[in-house]
Amino acid sequence: MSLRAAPPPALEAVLRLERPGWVLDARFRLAGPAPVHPVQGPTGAGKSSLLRALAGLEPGVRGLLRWGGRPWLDGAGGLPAHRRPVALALQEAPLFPHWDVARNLAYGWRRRGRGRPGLPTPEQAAAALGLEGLLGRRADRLSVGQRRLAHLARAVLSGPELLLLDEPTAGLDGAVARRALAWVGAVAAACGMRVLCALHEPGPLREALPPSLVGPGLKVESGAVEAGRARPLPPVPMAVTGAPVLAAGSGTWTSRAVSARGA
Amino acid sequence: MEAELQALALSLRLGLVTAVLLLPLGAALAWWLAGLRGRWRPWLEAAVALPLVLPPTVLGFYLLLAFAPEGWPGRVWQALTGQGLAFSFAGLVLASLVYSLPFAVQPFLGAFEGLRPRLLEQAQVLGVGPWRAFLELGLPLARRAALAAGALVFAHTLGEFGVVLLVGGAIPGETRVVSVALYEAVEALDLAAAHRLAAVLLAVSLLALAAASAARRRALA
Repeated sequence: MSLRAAPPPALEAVLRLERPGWVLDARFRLAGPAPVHPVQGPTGAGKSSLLRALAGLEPGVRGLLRWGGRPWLDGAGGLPAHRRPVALALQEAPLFPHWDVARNLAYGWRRRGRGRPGLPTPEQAAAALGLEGLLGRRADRLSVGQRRLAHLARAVLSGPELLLLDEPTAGLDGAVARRALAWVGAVAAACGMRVLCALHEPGPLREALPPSLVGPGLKVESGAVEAGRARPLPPVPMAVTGAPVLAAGSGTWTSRAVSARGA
Repeated sequence: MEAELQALALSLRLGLVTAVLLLPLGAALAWWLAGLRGRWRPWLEAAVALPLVLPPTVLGFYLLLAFAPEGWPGRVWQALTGQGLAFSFAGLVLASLVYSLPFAVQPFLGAFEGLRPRLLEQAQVLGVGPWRAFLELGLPLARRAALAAGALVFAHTLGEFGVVLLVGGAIPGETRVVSVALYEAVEALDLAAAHRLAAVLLAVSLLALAAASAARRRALA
């Protein structure tokens, strides 16, 4: 797959997600030709929450979110998750348990992915990830590692424009993890997908992908939680930092985001 | 004896028609309810469950008012078919849909409660919306619930009496179902006929409940 599509659209976010005990503030703009962006941060810093918020799964997210200039979220109301051209590989890597692997892989592909130039077929994906022998196996009879690979393949095959991966290689051994990440990078480059990949540490990503495919990353940081106090703690701030959001005439954007916060 | 068989056939027909109509309705309603959050959910669940605790005569009274030519369902039906809704088989079916609704919703609600969030999340991040997920993912996983709901609705519809008497009366072949025929047999001191009708209802109900229970147990296994 040396084919290379046009660079994917830019993702611009000024988001605030409040939960009892913590607040996630994200301000970043991801653009450029390199399709894969690592999302780093310690466990519990809010990586999953950030990805879920981008996918539209978290209720109560406020702010602004734009994909190639199109708003997915403006204030508090947003495009529902299934209308966003997004796929999210969830951290728990669930599959539809009553279906075999082939049917799981084909599900999103049939609904949305098929016809997207550069996207592999379910058979090609299975071959690339070493799942060919498991296509007929029921999903609830897979090992954890097999399930994770199938879940990853299913997300990619649904043909999103923005692919969000939440610890996609957790529990996989080094060589398998690198092969999976390299495959994702090649598919993303071939069909113009942007990929946000949450990982504990960026090592495997940098090893698996040529530098030309790895774009600027996001850092998710949280304040320290102090225990043992009688009165309620102030929310622990979490922040997502990355490429600055105030690029390319988005000044008005930020001020609207601030007013949306007060709502 | 012929009147008894006629009543039995009518009861079976009513039970089947009600179950067939109510299953998709109950499944869709349960899927929707399982996804509701916030303060409206208890009220909606209560409204769906109301026929469980309401005296059948109360329900029958309101339904009779609605089915009368002055009520709007009665008027709409009259305009569409040229016939009255009260004291007709169609009216009986409509009343049974209301009366047996909780029995169709509860099994599905039990199945969807745990499944819906997980299935829906997976579907949504693949670009599949909630109602498509219901048809393609929720329903196939709720087959056991459908069996249980079908059996319960059938049995419960067969056994309804108060509502039937109020909105249906006892027109042979039209609204004189087994439970009403039994009541009339007792009134007329025809105890032999009453025994036969009672035994049939008892056996059919027991069978249906056993089937529902078996479906539930296999769902857990």
